[in-house]
Amino acid sequence: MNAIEIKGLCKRYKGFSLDNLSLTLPSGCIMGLIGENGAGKSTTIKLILDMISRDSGSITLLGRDNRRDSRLLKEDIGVVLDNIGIPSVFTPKQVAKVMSLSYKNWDDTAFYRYLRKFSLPENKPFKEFSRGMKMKLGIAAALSHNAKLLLLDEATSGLDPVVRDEILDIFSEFTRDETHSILISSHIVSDLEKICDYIAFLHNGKLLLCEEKDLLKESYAIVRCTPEMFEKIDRSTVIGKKENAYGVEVIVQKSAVPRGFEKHPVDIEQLFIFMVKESVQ
Amino acid sequence: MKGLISKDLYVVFKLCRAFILLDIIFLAVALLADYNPFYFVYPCILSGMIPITLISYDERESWDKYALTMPFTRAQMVCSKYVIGIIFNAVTLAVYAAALMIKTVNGESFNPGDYFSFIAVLFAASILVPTFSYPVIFKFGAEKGRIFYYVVIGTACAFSILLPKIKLQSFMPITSAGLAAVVCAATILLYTLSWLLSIRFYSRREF
Repeated sequence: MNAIEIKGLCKRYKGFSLDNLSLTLPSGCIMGLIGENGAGKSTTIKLILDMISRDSGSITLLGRDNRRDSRLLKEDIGVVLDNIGIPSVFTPKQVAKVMSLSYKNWDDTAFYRYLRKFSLPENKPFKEFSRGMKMKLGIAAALSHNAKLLLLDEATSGLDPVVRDEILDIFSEFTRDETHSILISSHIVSDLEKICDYIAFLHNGKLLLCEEKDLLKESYAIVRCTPEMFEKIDRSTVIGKKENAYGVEVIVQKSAVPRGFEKHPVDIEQLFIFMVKESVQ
Repeated sequence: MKGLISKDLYVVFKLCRAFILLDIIFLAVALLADYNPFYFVYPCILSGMIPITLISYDERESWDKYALTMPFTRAQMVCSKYVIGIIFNAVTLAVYAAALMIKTVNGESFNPGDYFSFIAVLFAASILVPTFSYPVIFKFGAEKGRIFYYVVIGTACAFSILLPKIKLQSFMPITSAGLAAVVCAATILLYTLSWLLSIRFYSRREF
């Protein structure tokens, strides 16, 4: 079963449109939604959660329609938003009490286990937490009601590298269960590269690509060459090109690189930047 | 919905202590000072402000968005605020009805008809401000709805000051008990309509 199936999703605002988005996240996988600020990542997550109405298209989560079965589905979805949303006067203990009255499958034992794991105090108000601690509490709450799908909107932004790494480990651990999946949006591409199985690039409300991360890295390479050598490369296989004083840097389909050219491995961040900024299309 | 109401109760007891303190001060003044309807009407209006403060707080803390990710319907989110409103209005009304009883019996001027018609006015005062404010706030948010809310509060305060000067029965042939019944029925009807309208507005709101 697929955790998320989005088909032909459109949402129009003044000055921005999410245009015909289609993507599929298989169960047991992590998909990273990459895009610059305003690319449509949060809009996509809001549409998935039915926080805003779509103009067209369909969204199926865990095999159910996201609007028809909204309430039922939300029992199985854990969400961490950029602003988290926990009242600032609440202590983690009060969060547990409210959540236990909100989710049928709330697991107090799991929640307090996460509190200990994250070294979060039980009786300190949320407003006195650091940004990292706030995010950890949001994640603890999202992971403590036996969710099958995690939706994380910029859940690692504003955190220091040590906390980010800690949190990414928890997400990887979550998907060891094959029925668990994660959709995570971020503009910190290196984070997503560490943990994601699938990568989706969004730019100006359009999906540039949605592919397995390993396949992407296997399929493309960076070639550094002179402008004359660049002329020998088939343009239709070039993703992006950057010229500087030393020559030309190109991201190109690995299979189309002519003999004699030195190929370098490409990372997801380079691929995204070349597709967005240095596109030759 | 239990989760939503428990969350609101926690927040009220943490953040709305000023409301409770003001209620106690007004209660003391109402009992000790010369009789003035304002001392009774104003705290009742104040109790109706608690859910509006909660909505504003929810928006500032992004709880409104977070709650949408939880297994609640939008109708339940609206209902929780109306229920919280009813709880605080009922408690305030009960306290001030008792205070009014003590005041009037002590002053040996107790008249059941007048007493119940004034209770009806207190009931209307506590309910009508949120009745008119909620739909606007649920449609446009607490920030934008605040202007409308101040207009309603101003009107209600003006009404509470003018109240002693109005002799309704002089131009409306109705008994005190009849007037109380009409006021209560109209208030309940308006509150119900407001509730339904708020659900309709909130269901269509985008976040």
